[in-house]
Amino acid sequence: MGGMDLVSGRGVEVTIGSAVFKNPVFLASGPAGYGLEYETVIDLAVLGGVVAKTITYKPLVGNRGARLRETPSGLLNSIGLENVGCEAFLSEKLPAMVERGMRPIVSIGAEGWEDYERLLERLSGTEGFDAVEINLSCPNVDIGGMAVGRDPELVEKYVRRASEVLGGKCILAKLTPNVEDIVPLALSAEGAGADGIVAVNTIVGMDIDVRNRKLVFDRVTAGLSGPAILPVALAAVWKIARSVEIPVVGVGGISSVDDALKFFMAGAAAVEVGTAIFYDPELPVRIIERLEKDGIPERLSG
Amino acid sequence: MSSAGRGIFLTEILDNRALYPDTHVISIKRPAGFPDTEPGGFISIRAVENTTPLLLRPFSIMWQDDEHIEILVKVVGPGSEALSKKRTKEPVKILGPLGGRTFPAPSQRPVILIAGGTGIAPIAYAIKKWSAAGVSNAVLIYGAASSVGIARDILDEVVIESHYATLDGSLGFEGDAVELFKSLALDNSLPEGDIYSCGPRGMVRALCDAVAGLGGMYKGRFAHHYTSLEAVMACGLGACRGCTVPLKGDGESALKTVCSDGPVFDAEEIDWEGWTW
Ligand SMILES: Cc1cc2nc3c(=O)[nH]c(=O)nc-3n(C[C@H](O)[C@H](O)[C@H](O)COP(=O)(O)OP(=O)(O)OC[C@H]3O[C@@H](n4cnc5c(N)ncnc54)[C@H](O)[C@@H]3O)c2cc1C
Ligand SMILES: Cc1cc2nc3c(=O)[nH]c(=O)nc-3n(C[C@H](O)[C@H](O)[C@H](O)COP(=O)(O)O)c2cc1C
Ligand code: FES
Repeated sequence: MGGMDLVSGRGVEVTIGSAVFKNPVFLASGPAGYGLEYETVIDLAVLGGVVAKTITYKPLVGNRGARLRETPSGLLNSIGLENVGCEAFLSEKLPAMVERGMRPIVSIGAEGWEDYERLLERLSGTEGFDAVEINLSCPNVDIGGMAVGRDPELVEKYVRRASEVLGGKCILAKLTPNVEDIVPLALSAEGAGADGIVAVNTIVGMDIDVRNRKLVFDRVTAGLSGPAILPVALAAVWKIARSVEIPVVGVGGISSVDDALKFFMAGAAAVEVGTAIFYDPELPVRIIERLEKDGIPERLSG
Repeated sequence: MSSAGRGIFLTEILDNRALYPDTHVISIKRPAGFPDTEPGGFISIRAVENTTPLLLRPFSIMWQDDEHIEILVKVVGPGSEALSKKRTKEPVKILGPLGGRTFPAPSQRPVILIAGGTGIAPIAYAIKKWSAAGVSNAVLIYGAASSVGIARDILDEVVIESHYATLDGSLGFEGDAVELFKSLALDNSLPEGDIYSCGPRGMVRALCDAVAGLGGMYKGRFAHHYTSLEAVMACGLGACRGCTVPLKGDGESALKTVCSDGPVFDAEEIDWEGWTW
């Protein structure tokens, strides 16, 4: 029982809901923007998918104050969902992604309910993508984001609406690890019609500038990503993969090919690379090469 | 600068020499396919093989020719320290060239180049590159804590009118580069022209105030002030939106990214007051 059973593997292809991805290695939403910024740096067309920066109905300017801070093997960010908004995304970014051979996965912000519904309406019937990731987990905004994603009932409501409005597209629900137990969130998403679970978004953290006796971030807390969070993400994927029937996409701290293999062994059907793109942009391609050579690792029992 | 040819390159250290104990000139082999750059352009370097520190470290290009890319590295923390220990032939990964807006090539108007500390790196590139291109009406004002910090030999081959300021008075004017600028301006010793600056944030801000404070016959003498900024960066490409600087104007909408909207900005447009991070 569990994730892998519903993933029809042929070579390294992976099927999630109605969508077939040529391999199970995606760029995570955020670090790589709309993919376009990395165009000359990595061959984005070889990736299984590129999850674009989360978009909201209207453009967001993001947070003031420091937005980045390194920690040992980690990164705190407080970007605050700066994005171009759905109109500019659909008219400029998405067509450019498709033209460059990327397989876009559109990440949508679960903001206030009204804007969320308007965003879904705007996306319905739009061509150029067949997969959506609902960001139910951004810790860096006041409205929506993690506030929605921590509540199983709201997760259910947001995911259900997306599957109603965007019927036919592959719907992924991206969850926050900032809860006592992530499994109920995954079960809610599954029950509401999600085709896959993405785990995890960043972990809430903070830092203090000792010398200046000052908080680093204007919003006090920020989101931790990078190698430091891999064990947390891995445990989340392990638990979720043993609780739901739909595929799980593992994300959090992948910094080497072996890190990615761990997620498959824990039960993930696909992985996303986020922060590592900053310091090792070639990593996703190396992961794909290994999977093509050795196959996708079997999930461990237990 | 366009992004054509930008990439991640595996190359090697050609030379690493300490100019003075905490500041190194590192010469990197220019990888095949690495595009030409303009002053203000920069590269990001992976300083360590492991993940602490995690991110690449950005450094201005101080010189570039067919074989070399040269940077000036001041040791301020773990990344720059690891770089300062790299030896000839050691492999190194660089991302670049980076920067969306570099220093504009000077027109007929004279340029007044003002550098503080390691801010000399992009300024030195400008001086060398534009001298080679025949631009001669430039004046350099260069400040550091003491004579040790004035890296005169990186500019050895080119001769332009140069003025030095040291806080301890061990070389040239006693004081900082901005005070020296003011005194030269009021002395009528500077041509009417455009300012190109790079240095610590406090210096550039004080320079803006100094220019704005010039009244009477000096008003408007320095019509443009271009400055190259620094910020903590993750992607260096405009993707992550992490390296913001606020510009004056309608509040929040005026956040720009240093890596891709800059690093060169019109100094007068920067909202220094609002830049609290
Ligand atoms: C476009 C650009 C060009 C640069 N050019 C040069 C150059 O030519 N020569 C040079 O020596 N340095 C340059 N820097 C600064 C250099 O990137 C930082 O000094 C370096 O990243 C510090 O890394 P670290 O691990 O040694 O220190 P860290 O531990 O990261 O930092 C040590 C201290 O330096 C401060 N710091 C860190 N990053 C920066 C930064 N970007 N700007 C200002 N302070 C910072 C930190 O707040 C901390 O107090 C440039 C930065 C940018 C963005
Ligand atoms: C700078 C930055 C911006 C991010 N922006 C988003 C975002 O817009 N939407 C989202 O769902 N996740 C966002 N994330 C979270 C990542 O997609 C990912 O879930 C998280 O960073 C953990 O993976 P990693 O350790 O591989 O980075 C962002 C992460 C970073 C570092
Ligand atoms: S460092 Fe990512 S946008 Fe500038």
